[in-house]
Amino acid sequence: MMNRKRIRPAAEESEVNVTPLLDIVFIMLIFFIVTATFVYEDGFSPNLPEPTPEVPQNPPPALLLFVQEDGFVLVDDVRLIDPRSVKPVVEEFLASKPRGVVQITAALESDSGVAVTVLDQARQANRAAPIVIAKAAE
Amino acid sequence: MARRQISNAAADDEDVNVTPLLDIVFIMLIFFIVTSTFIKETGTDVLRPDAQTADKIKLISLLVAVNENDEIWINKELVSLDEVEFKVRELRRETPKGSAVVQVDQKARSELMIDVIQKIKDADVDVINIATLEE
Repeated sequence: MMNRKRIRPAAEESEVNVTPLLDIVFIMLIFFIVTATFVYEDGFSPNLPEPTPEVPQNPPPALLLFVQEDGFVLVDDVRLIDPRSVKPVVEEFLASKPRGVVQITAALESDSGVAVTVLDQARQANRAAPIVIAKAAE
Repeated sequence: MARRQISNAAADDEDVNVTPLLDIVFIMLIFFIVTSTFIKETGTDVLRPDAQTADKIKLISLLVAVNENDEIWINKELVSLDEVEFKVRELRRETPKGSAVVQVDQKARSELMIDVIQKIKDADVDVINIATLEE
């Protein structure tokens, strides 16, 4: 019994002193907590047209949505609709032409909120469909 | 002599065992090192457009804001459209991973929004998102 006790203190004294390590680790921890900035955003990725100067041989059918300065949307240069009713138009177009492309063109002075609404509406119709957004030619 | 050694052993046993504390602290440290991305805030407030199909954006490393006065803000600095590509490349060198997020105000001009996205794309950023309102 006595013999065992005599060995134990010696074994414990040979342990590594972790206090300086703990100090450094704590300082690093506090540094990372203080500098950590958690930025959470919701959003989606818009598709910009690729710069292809030559026109392809067989261009896919396209639905043209022109976002006007006054906040209305011109469909195929014919119909004028509200940006919040773009979804059924896109659904109808994609139902008749499954390989179709939705081309959104924003007038230079139009509000980006409207352009994003149109883009969102088109995505609601079909997320997998190719949707391209561009600005109007100057 | 024997007596001293007994009291010495008792004092050693009373020491707080810091090993579990150290474990937890190390885990927290690793968590914060891994999650810290050192994002540069834009320094302006924008009213994001509303959208139904928005997803959570993962791994944001770059923020560009376009506010309602058609000003472009990166890293708490007002920049012109021509400087966007250079600024984005500069910030990209520090954090090469992750996606770029464009915070556009609802009232900003569409032309500027698309120009800014195009400039970021020109700066070799693959994933660019438009920030929308959180549900």
